[in-house]
Amino acid sequence: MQARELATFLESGVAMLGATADARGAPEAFRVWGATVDDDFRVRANVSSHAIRTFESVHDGAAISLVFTDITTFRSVQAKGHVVGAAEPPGPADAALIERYEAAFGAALQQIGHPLTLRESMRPRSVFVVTVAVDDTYDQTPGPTAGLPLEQVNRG
Amino acid sequence: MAEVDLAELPGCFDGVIPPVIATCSAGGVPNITHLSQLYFVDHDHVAVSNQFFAKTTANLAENPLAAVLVTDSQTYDTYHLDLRFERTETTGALFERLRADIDAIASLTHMEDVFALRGADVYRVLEARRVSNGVRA
Repeated sequence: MQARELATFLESGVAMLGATADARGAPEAFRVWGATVDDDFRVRANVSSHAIRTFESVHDGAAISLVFTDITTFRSVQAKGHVVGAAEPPGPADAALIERYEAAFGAALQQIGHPLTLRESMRPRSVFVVTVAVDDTYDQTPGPTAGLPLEQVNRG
Repeated sequence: MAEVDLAELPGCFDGVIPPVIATCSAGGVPNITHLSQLYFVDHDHVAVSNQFFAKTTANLAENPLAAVLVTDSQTYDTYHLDLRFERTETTGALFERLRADIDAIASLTHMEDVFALRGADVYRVLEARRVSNGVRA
């Protein structure tokens, strides 16, 4: 998957979740509330502040995984990589991204019959921002190719 | 164990809002993937249908710790469960219960050729915490 293709996918209202693990190997799963990707395959992700362990432990080079799922088709992509720098507070561009994300994700939820109150319920009280250098992308769509590198899946 | 009584949260176990499960390799690399459904086993255990979770299964063989994020379809509250993998059941009542559900989901989504239950993975719930409160109209 190219960065441009992932960028288009991220703008389409997909569900966004992520995971990190602490030094004991205990994973933490969390909601991501909007993300963008640049041409260098760096994802800027708004991580829900409920991810307390992630917030406390995230550091430059920390391993992180993000999964993006089109809830109307089940198409799903997992990006694995490492954190670049430290967690940051959201800026104006991140706030604008959240507005765009909420509109797109809300439309997707409604398309499959969920009310917007579900989106309101999922909305994090606050977010912190992490930048992720993506090392690998994997197909996560339910089926026999789930877990395979996207490059391999796309080659057929 | 958990400060949350899972038995009182049927909306977390109906598959209406697919949960996610996170695991971690021995090398510290996390993996996260959607589940079709989380199953209540008893006050201290939940189960997950093992269908095509190659990486999840590989990670659990190295490191039994896992986490699930699940939203209650009735209240829209979201919970984070810290789990420890205990065993995979390939026969018995739990397995048959999961297989019936998986067959139904496969039929509804026209993915009969994709969904195949390999086992019922059973986890002990180490901790359960509510991470967001639902808003219902």
